[in-house]
Amino acid sequence: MFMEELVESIQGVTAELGQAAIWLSVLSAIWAIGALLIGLRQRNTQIVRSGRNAVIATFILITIATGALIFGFVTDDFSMMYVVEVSSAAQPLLYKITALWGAMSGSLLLWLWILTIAGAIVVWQNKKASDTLADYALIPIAIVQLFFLIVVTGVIEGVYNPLARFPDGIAMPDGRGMNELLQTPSMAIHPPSLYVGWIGLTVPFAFAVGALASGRIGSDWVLRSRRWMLFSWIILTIGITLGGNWAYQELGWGGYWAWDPVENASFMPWLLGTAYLHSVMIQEKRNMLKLWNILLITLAFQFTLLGTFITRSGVITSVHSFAQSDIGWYFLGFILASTAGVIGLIVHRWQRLKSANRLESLLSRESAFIANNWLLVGLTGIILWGTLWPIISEAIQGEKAAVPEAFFNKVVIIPGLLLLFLTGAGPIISWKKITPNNFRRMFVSPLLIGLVAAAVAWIFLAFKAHAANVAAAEAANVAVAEVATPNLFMRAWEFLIFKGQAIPIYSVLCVFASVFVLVAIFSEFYRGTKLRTKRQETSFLNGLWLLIQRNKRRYGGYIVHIGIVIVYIGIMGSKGYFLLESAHLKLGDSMEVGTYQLTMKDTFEGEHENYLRRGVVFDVEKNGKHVTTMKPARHYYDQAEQAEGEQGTIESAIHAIGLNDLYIALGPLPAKIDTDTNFNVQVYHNPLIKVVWIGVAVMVLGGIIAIAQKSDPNPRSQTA
Amino acid sequence: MNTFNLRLVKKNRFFLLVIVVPFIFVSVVTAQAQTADSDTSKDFKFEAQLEELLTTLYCPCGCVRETNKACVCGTAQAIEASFRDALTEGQTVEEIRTLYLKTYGSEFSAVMKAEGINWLAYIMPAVILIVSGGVIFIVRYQSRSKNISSTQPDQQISDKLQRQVEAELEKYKDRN
Repeated sequence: MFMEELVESIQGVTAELGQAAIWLSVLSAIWAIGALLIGLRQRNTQIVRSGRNAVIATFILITIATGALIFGFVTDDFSMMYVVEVSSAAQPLLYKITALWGAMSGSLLLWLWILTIAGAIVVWQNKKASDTLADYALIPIAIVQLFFLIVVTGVIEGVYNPLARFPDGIAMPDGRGMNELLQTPSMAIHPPSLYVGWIGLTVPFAFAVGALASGRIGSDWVLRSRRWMLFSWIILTIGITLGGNWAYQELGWGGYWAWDPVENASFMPWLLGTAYLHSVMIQEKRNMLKLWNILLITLAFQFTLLGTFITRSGVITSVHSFAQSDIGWYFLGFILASTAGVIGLIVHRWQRLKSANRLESLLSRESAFIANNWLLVGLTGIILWGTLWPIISEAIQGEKAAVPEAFFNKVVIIPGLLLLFLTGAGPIISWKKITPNNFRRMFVSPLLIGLVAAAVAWIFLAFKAHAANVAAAEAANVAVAEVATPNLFMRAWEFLIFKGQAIPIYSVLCVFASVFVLVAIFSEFYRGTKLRTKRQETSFLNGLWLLIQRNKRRYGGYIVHIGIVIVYIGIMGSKGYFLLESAHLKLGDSMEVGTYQLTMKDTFEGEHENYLRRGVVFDVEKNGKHVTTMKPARHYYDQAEQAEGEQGTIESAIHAIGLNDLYIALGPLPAKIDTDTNFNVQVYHNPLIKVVWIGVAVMVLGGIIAIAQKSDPNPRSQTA
Repeated sequence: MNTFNLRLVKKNRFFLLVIVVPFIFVSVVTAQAQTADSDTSKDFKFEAQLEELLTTLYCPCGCVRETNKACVCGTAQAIEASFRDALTEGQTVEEIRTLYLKTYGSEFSAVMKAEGINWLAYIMPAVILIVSGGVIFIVRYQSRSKNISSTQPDQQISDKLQRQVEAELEKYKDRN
């Protein structure tokens, strides 16, 4: 009783406290910008310090506001508009908390909160810095904070303050509840990890702007923001993958990536961040590409905001666009204004941005890195083009065209494969200029082994394809000659080019590039380890450990490259060779997918915390032997209107078979089920899909190793 | 393969591991990818036409970007039945497709044929690659300092000296 009264009395002030904190933080952000600008201009450390304190104050105030909103969720304060929009009394505690980012207003508050945390960390990390670079960097951070603060206060049409209450003291009896699709564990982590990744990019961008403003254009800003960049790259990698995993589990179409605009919006900053991570190495080692690196990090930062514009403005239809308003256009305005500011600073510092060294040969590590940048930036441009094509086509012909997944797959595959090849070539080619000796020593073996692997893959895949064609012809009573040639050589050739089906040739190229990269990188590990083993007179494993310890950045990077190869192989299998069978089954009916037989045995139903789970039981067999039992279902949430025709959410059943998945999605269920009920089911066999997740885990491991290194052990160009 | 590598293979079992492991890995995973070859349908042509329709048209139920083949909703089920009927009546794939897009709108096409204005969509990626390459080249060229002297530290080493250094390094590594 006492607790209830206490909670009620706190509820009476939390929203107001949170709103006051937001308005006060507007003042503190303005103070931070002003104090830092004036203090740095007048070289007055007292004023600069007050600017830094204002950044900390903004963090504290927004933490209070966020805490107030979370308190509202946890205590079911249905006098708050946002709580009613995305929560309900029956919602499990985890999803009451994750409701914070369940819709637009809360998402923006979360973004702002993480941004203020980043600002506070920058202040804390640089409290003993002897220079003013970090203080200059705090100015753009505070400006971005101010932009988000203005949005969050609710003064912009289309977004309301997440802490706002209903007028006249009205309180709803219950909330509408969060979108059912978002009530999953991966969705609890996916959005915040994306935000952390995106906001992480703000810090290197801020340091780049700080470098331009202060005139310290050397590699100092790159080194000071390196770990921020790596951190956000790791978190973005995790966030994007969790998004793909969520789509795979929840959307029922058996895939994890469909080039949806929101997926693209998260992927483009990742591509640009990856390009930046490579190109800064040239600045550090050779004092080149200073201007390019500033442009690249600016672009990466702007693409984080562009993603918000694309998904929130409603200009593009997306499966993930859970909230739309005019806010996207304000983001576009901010992007244009901030870009103009950066361009102004670049013009101001133009002379100092010129490189001290030049590219000596097109066959060098510098060139490989530049080619890597070209492909990554080019891929970003291509994906942006495809994402915006519906708007462009509408502007040209008055009708919005849909851009299917197949379009993206077609246009990204060649640059993607080139990029894969560079993943192996970059680390083994020498700086400045490749020599015949370097080529012989580093390239010959990986190339030859890659070619042999590609030839084996070609023959293997050609035989399998031929066998499938023969089986298809026999089943359809068509002459085998109509679908396949008896000549082995022609068969193999046709397989590669057969009727424009490009998957096989790309598979063969993917195998070639993958094996090339793996051999190249493992050879690098082997050579280094062998040297260390001899020097230290220790075991091979210990030598390997010492090698990685000695240069975590380099070998962590190599591990990331291995992870990328694994992801490519997973994509090749899961995208290129998946099987999909759909059927309308009654209880007791069977169907086949590849070599698996599925029989629908039973139905089930069960009440859960805030939903009803209904589904069917499949018995899965292979060659007459029981493999597993699978239970695809649909969830009918309490808050959703249970009117006739309510479809519920798809809860796919996924069973791992080695590296492959068997995946069943169930269609909508009628209210009453009997022996005549027809169930619509779709069954996928997804080869190598586990390899994708394994590859990402390896990438993240490599990233963690690389971030563990405090500074480059062999810096060559620390200053301009 | 050159003699250096042959010698290395003979001397080092680990090098063999370096070659064999990725090779086996790729072979195994490629084999895994192929373990579930599909069998097929009873009426080859009919089913192929139906498959083409189902996989090239998006379901209009509201599940954005899911083809009628991939969508598990009731609408997709009804559409599949209507496609079957239309094919049985003798309508061509193109006729059914045209009618479908006329009914629901062109944005429900899951294929983007390279025709008409779509040519622009397909050509532009190549243009973007060329332009981005050009931009990188220009940024690099324009931002290169004009007063790079030949005494810059990074350029003090001549190619000949560079080769000598690398040769010495090789010898050192071989010794170890």
